[in-house]
Amino acid sequence: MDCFYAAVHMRDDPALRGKPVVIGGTPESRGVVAAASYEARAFGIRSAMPSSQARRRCAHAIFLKPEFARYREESGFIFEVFREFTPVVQGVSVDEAYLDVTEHLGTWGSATAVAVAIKDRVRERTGLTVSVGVGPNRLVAKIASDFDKPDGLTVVPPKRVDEFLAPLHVRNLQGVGPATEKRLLEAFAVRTIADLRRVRESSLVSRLGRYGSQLFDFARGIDERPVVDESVRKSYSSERTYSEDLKDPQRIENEIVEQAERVGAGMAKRELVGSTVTLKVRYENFETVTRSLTLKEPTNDPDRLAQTALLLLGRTQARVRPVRLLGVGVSKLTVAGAREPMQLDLLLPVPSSSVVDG
Amino acid sequence: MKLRIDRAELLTELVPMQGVVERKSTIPVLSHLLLRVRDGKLHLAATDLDVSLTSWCEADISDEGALAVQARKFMEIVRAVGGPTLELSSDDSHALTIESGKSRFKIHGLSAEDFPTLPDVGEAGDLAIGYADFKQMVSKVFFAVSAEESRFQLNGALLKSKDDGLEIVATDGHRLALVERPIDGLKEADGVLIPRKALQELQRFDSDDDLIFRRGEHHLSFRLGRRELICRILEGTFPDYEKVISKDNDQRATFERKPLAEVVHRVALLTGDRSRAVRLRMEPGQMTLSAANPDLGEAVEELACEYEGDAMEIGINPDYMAQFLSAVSTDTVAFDLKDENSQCIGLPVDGDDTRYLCVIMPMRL
Repeated sequence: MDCFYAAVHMRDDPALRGKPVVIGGTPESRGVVAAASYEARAFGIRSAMPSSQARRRCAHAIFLKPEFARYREESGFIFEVFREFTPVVQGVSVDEAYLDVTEHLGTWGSATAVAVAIKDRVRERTGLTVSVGVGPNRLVAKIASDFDKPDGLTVVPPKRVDEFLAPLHVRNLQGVGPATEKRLLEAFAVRTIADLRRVRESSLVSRLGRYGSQLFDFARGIDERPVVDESVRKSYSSERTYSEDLKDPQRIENEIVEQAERVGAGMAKRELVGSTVTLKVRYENFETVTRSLTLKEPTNDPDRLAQTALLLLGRTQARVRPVRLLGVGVSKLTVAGAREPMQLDLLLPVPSSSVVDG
Repeated sequence: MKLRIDRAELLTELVPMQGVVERKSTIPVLSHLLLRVRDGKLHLAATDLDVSLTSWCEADISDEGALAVQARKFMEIVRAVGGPTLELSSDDSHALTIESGKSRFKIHGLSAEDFPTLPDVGEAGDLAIGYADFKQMVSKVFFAVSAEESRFQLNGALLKSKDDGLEIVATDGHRLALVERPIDGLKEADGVLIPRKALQELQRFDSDDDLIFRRGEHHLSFRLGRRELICRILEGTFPDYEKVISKDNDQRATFERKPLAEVVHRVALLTGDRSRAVRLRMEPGQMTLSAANPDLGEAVEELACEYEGDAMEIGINPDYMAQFLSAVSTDTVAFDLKDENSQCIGLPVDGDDTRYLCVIMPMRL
């Protein structure tokens, strides 16, 4: 996101737009700058700079206290958009994430088209702008996303990685801070990534340790690190407490089918499949039982989930005793068709003669 | 009861009973056999309430009577003792005495009254088929029967009479095996689902006789000589399987069965436990089979085949291939393909007069 904290305030308060806005401690305090609008950055105000110093650089800057709860909520909306495009989302912070769309180009056809669609959808939903970098790996995508801000879109196809990186300063490479930068300059006279490519791997390793080897790869646009969805959900479930205890077996079954459908749809939307199905039943006296069954192959098919949940229903007393709560859950989740080869299913049509009307 | 019986003959009947007896049951009597002496014979019965097996042996009877004995222990004793004949006798305390030569065993049993009443499906048969032929048909589809309890209607195979033919079909949702054999005079009729366990037990016998099949209201009966296996009909609707089988898989690859089975076995050594996938790369005249596993390494092997279709790569579970290749009986087999996401259909080539096919869904790599 572009100046995320500042952008949220400026969106909600038109009076702030076009003005240097600083989010952070007050200039009178010993606080520091958490974020600055582009207008404030024009005065040389940067993140982590003491607020008092920021005030000296721009006397008319507007200082606001950070409201993290607000940013987190906004971040939730944005990540929701990301997950509509791919289940493989690795959040780095509230306003930065890696998305692996390799397997999820869908109807978009290309990563570039996905990137444009993401930008549009984030703007529609939140009114905020996002800068997107598209690349063959995390390293390149990250550098590309910083390349053109705000509201940028930089696409670096695999063939162009070399020429894209060559002129950039080594500070653009992840892990190169002031210390490494200085060491590279002093030991090898390296300033740009093109310079870095001339240094042998063994020399880098002897100066920088194991990181030298990674840096050698980075200079060539090589980055094998996968995008890992760290916020993986452990389970998916739906449950409902009824205003009146359920006694009718048919009604109970219908409710279970409905919840299985809800769970299946939610999982399908996130391209998740799960193999353990759990049915939760709370009787009228609050006694609660759960029954689980693990399927051979993970699924998100609502029919399979419902079928399994109904099978589990037979292992409860739900048709005999009044029920106040029913829940269907799925755990042991995996991403559908991601890394592991996935067994495809035969379509098994039910004979038309046995289809009951209604 | 009191009788003298040929030991070998008794043992022959006891062995197939063991498969039916429920070992893990919480109902003790289900781990027992019912022994009943009547009409000059020793009648034997085993049941797990879903599948039952009955048989009998000739015996010299002194006293009639009945009791239930622990099935496994009884067989172990009959097998372990020497001598050609056994003396069996019981008293009122439901204990069975087994005497042979100088050995004497007394084992505790249960009252015959505790043994479940077995369903009676009647005598007359609806269909007779050579047992060896039937057993071979079952063996060609049994591997595709689902063992997943959540898909109960797939936990069995469909037995269906057609005009002049008998068909057995099984599917677990990933593959489907169908076998059909001509039987003159048979008429098209509704199919019936035979549960998995019954199919398993029906493959244990050895006989040149005909198997007599009869369908009752809730049960099926299979008679083979003196034995009768009765099972509950599996309730549920079997999928419309003819619609499952693709009609437009027009790219055929033909292989020698044995070398193919060996290649599949070798390459599968490097597939993981979690994802059993081998990669089939098809090119004109050749297939390359490979497997890669991040933890183990990789394997690759080429095999010549007759193939003139498009180059394509298909992922497939090697177990599914291997099971088809060991079930099919011809030396040459074919796989009819379409593309990497569509089913592949395994078929015998130049076979006998049975129709056989095994549809296998690929794995997305």
